Amino acid sequence: MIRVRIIALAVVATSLAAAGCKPATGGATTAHPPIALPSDPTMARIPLGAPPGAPLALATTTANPYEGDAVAVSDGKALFGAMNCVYCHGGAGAGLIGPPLDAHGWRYGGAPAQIYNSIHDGRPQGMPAWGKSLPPDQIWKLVAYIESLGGATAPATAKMSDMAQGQPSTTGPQAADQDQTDTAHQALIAGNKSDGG
Amino acid sequence: MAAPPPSSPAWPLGYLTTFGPRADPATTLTWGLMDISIAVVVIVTALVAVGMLVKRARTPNGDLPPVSRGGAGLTWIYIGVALTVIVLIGSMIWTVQVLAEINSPATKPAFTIEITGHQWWWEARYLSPQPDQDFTTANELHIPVGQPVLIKVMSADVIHSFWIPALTGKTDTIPGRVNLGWMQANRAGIYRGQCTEYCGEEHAKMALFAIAQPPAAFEAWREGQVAPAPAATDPEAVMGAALFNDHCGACHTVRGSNAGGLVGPDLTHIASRQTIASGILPNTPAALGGWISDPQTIKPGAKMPATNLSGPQLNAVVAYLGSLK
Repeated sequence: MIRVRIIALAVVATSLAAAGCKPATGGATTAHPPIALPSDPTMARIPLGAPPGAPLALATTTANPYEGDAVAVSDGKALFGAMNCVYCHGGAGAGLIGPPLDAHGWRYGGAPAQIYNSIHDGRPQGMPAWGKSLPPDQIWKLVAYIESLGGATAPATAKMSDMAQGQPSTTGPQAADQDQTDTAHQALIAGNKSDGG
Repeated sequence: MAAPPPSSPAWPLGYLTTFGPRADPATTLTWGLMDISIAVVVIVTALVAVGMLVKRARTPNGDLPPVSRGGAGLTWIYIGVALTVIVLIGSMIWTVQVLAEINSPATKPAFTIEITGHQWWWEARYLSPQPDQDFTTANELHIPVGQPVLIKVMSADVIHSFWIPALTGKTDTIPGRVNLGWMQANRAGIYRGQCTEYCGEEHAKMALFAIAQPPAAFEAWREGQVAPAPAATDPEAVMGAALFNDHCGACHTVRGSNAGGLVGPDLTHIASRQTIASGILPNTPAALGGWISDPQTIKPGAKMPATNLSGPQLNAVVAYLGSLK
């Protein structure tokens, strides 16, 4: 009888463990429970910029719902490769055909909400609009990853003057460790740079 | 003007022989004004030579006599000025006549093509009275022989200039403006065109072709272009279609698939085109594979990035694009 009980217990424990593991071993962007995202009308009102010194009211009060979320950052990093961002913006956002994302000097604003809009709507001279192919939560995860590269403007302090000088993101460089795909991308980019002169 | 029209994309850009009613009068004018200019140079040179070589007769003791002015000198000035004025006014009248003649076609244009210059390729949108018959293609215009076609020339970024010298003059593409022109080919042929306003580092690699076809062949081409892309059937092309959707669809459109990007050229019927990458490579599987695997070496600065497709993946994408007839 004891033996049967032990086997039953083991079965229960294994299935529980499997259930517990499921979120962690799932797909790249399934780790999160539903989360409240800023509404579309809010995002549509976010300005690209403001007069020097003036606070970017809506852009700065609209924070990334995944602010400081390490899982979202790694999900965003996976998306950055999967959605081909890396081919134009370079490994770790170092810049290639598209502008770098790890340094300051944003043409269309560096606050998280502005980065969101640049991904969602696209920008002139080559940036496609991703709003049709990526749901909002995945775009926010991409924004979380881009913020982790250190170039984004911290939402609480964003002013035009900050955009010029730069404030390190509060999320910090969590994703500094390179995985294998990233190394491959870096090699690709290094090759391109030497070819192109 | 009995030269045959160009019959392959490999023919060089030619502007000394033309093949349409918009370009022909200008070519005739060019040759005519050149003939007049040559005649002027020959006559003036001859008169100067005569003046240098004809010597005054010496006096019996061997001295040159003093220069004396006869009464007839001023007459030659009058004759010279009169001839010049007549020829110049004649040239001006001829020029103005040609400008008026090529300003608009003799008959109503068959249809309109909106041509948009991009860094560094040409987008062409064929307009129709029925909106569902509109379609977009790139870098290769087909036109029916013997029919004038209206062209609306625009720019997506900087100033380019649209020029197919055998058929039409240069028309600048100005950002924010629509410039109008027209062209007509009198004989079937493949007429090379080129951006002719410096527009950035790949300006030289921004060619296009106007392919003039008999009206029936043109109509068949048009109907083929309006249709969405055929679904891939070959297993390799099916795999290529999925890869294209994942890696290329954000920038390129293939009508009838999920790929709907607006950044690069419409590739719905790329296999029907003779060249790729704006006329710089022949449309062969080898050239296509090379272009996709490393566009930045072939055309540095172009907006197309290299994707790290594996060999079999690259073959599949090339097979898929080859199926887009």
